[in-house]
Amino acid sequence: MSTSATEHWFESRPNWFKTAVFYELHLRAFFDSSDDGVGDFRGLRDKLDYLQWLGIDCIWLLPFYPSPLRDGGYDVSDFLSVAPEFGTLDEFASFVESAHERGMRVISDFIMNHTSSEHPWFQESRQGPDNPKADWYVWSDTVHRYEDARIIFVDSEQSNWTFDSVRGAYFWHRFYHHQPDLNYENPAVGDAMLEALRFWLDLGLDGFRLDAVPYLFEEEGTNCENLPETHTFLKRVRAEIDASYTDRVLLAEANQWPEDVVDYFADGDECHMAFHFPVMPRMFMALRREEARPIVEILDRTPPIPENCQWGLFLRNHDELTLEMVTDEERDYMYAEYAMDPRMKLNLGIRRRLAPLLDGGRDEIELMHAILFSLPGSPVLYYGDEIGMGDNVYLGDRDGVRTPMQWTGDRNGGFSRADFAQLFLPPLMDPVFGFQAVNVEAQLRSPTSLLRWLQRFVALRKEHPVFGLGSYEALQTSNPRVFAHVRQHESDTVLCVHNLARSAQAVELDLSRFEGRTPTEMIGRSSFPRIGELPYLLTFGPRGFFWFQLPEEPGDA
Amino acid sequence: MPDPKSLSSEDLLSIVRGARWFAAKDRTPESAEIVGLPVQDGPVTLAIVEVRFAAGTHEHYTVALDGGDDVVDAFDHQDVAQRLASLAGVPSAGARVRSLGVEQSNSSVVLDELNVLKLYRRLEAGPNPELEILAALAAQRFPNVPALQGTLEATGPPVETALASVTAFVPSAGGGWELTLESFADDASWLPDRAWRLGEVTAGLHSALAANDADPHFAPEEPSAEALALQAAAIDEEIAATFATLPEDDALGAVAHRAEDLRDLVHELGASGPSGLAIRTHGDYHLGQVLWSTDGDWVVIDFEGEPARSLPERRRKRSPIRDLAGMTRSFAYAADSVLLLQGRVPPEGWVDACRTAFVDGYLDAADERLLPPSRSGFDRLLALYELEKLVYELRYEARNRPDWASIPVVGLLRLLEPAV
Repeated sequence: MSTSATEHWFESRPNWFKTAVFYELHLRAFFDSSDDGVGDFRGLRDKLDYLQWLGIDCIWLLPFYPSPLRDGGYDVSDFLSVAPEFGTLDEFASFVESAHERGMRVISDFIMNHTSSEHPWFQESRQGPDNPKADWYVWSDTVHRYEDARIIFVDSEQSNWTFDSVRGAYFWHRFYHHQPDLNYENPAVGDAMLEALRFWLDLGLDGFRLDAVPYLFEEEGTNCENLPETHTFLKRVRAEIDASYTDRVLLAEANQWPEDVVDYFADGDECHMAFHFPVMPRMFMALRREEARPIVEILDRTPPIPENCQWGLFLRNHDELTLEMVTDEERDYMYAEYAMDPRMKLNLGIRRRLAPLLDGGRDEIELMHAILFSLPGSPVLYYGDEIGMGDNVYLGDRDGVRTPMQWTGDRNGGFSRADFAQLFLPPLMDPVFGFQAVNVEAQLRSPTSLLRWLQRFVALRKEHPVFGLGSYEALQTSNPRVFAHVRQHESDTVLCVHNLARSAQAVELDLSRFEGRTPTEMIGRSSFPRIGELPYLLTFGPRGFFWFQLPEEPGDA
Repeated sequence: MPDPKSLSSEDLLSIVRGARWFAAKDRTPESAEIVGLPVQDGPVTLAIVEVRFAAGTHEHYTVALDGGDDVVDAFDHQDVAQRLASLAGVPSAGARVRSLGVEQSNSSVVLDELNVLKLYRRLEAGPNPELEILAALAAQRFPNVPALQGTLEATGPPVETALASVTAFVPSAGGGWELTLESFADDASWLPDRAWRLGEVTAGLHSALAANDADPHFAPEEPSAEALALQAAAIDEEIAATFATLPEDDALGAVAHRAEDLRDLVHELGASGPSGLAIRTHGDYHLGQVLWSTDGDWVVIDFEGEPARSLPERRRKRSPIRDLAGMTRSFAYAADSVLLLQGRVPPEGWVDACRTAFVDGYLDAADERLLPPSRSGFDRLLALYELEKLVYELRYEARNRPDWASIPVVGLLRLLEPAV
């Protein structure tokens, strides 16, 4: 057995991901060890101590495969190697081993649905209907097929079909026209993808974030999303991985309503995790409207999931703040409130980072993390948000939220020693969010910085498995501006109360079923008045929150 | 013997809860269950017991089940120890078994005054740091450690890790700690006379740990740019947490209001220049971890690192100066303990004499790649790590032995004195 095997470094714990804190990062943007202006695996390895200190359990890598980079690496031209600018396969394996050694796991993006048009499979397939890979992609002589499927990248694509002059036919693509969809009707495609998954698992990878999974299969008369064949294939992937590997995780990216996403958990035999997309815009909406209802409603609408599954929760990620899973009215509201400059819009979303979305407000950033960490699911942090990095709306596509990590106030923000002009993207240099104002080095030294606060907060959440494992129940409150809920796991009960308003608020909570217990505030560990029969009164400063533990009284059981 | 599966949660808890090696003494376990039986061989049944806490967390411990009906840990039973040592590769049938009673986190017996069998109690997945280090030191022919004779591993699940080891028994006059305390009765210069050599042996230990560039788990590493700042931040958080929960106590009065001064000091010391290469270290270095052998030299033992830290933390590469801070704090503890325990006043300047000789002996033999380039950089880093130890000591003593809290209080006040 190779020593990179997770069995060597971790206690066997199939549900490890339920109490984990994830950290999503862009290899390209993290740290450059080779002075060529592009981040790489050796550089990331150098920064593992930082991630360990922050309390990260699992690193999620964005695609690092060879790619023409017309879609941030989601256009893969070879599934079985590392893009040369990131290093070698050996350096990849050494990075994974070093992460494991520090108690951190690593998952990576894997793009199931499509390839780059430069992938050799597509180059072969386009040669004509007679070559061995002719059916590896979805070809058609007409664009009048699958007409009920929506166009996802509405800003750049007019159709899901693009004419290929080499083959003289149209090929199907749900995303960019340079990203032809693979044809999963052909079993050879599924086999090839499984082989690729095994290749990375054998190198020690702990799992995959499966990109764009709802679109694997197409069928006439449907919207070509979430089809039964897609679920059958994912179940096969799960079964084959479970048969040969332990403690691996499949995290589905299915930007859908919760009632559709839960199908990706199936009976606990499909994906281990799936992102909860709709809760995220509603957190921003709740904050702007200063009311708890949007969050409470979407969680009410979220069906229960199998015991061995978990939601992935996030505030921001590498994509735009997606507004596909909101109503048209809500979308207009979000655009008006969070994307004042039309450049900030992209497709159906807003391409901005957390801190600028919240106008750099420290109270707002803390409150949003508090709500995120208190909800049932595993939080996924996006690199740079822990120091409150900004974005650059003048960069194209989603590059504005993928700028170099800001390590120091020195040249290039400490990201690279290359010439500035060589950098893959310029680091932020504006006076508010630029690297001279916002960087790891300075925040490490300041006990009151966002980074130091978040490190403490991650540690607090991890002390209490209830946040990952416990039940969730929203509480009725006397004040609609206050979001209060109870989490319970075994004998651990916590009460989380958040004031969404920008003004001080008071709330009365009916806690009579916890009568006799003495709430202990979890950050400062101070005791609050004992819960009696009467409604429990709490007061908050603007955007304030309390997390309480409600220990059982001795003899209360 | 009873079927191991028939042992109830209560039975298992009754074994675990009272044991010295049970780490979570300040938490109440809710239940326990056997989750693995990695060894079942003749008189030996080793069980991996999962102890669960109210919050939903758990820890794993090794328990040697008794062959009869008694609900006790059977590790020091003659036949169990003999057989375990044999399974670890050191035939020991019929060996005389003597308990080595003083440990906190594991259990050891001496076999025929030749070998020491150690049962690792708290199990975490991953390579056992002690066995890794003993093997690495043997490869470098570092002489001042006991030779590793054999190991016994669990291949998992639930964990893949070492269960037991056998090392050569080192005939010694005693441990550095006891010998030092005893020495105050007749010859207080005992340790000062040997501290220079202790520094030299420590330097040799670190050089040997830094010698293998080919093994990624031992190759010395240039610390990342923020490594020192990360450590300083961690120490700073420790100070904040420790002082926030410090009990009201007159003995603590002199430092109780100095948290901000200490945090300023961390800030200042954490901004030092380059700190030298990071290497695998002893990790829990103090006078109790060195023996004065009958051959008249220091022998270093117990390479598991601080028991309260997680395995990845214990295996982590760090500045070797952290080990030095452990030892220098141990000198101060010895001097103060003799006052508290025996009412004897140590000779004036005793701690300084030990410290100076130890540091000089170390620097004389040290591998310079592992140290800051200047003596002042070295002193600052040593002070930072001493501060880290002191904060831990303060927290521990204030909670567990308030009478002893004066020891870290004095140490902290000294660090806060302006440098002369």
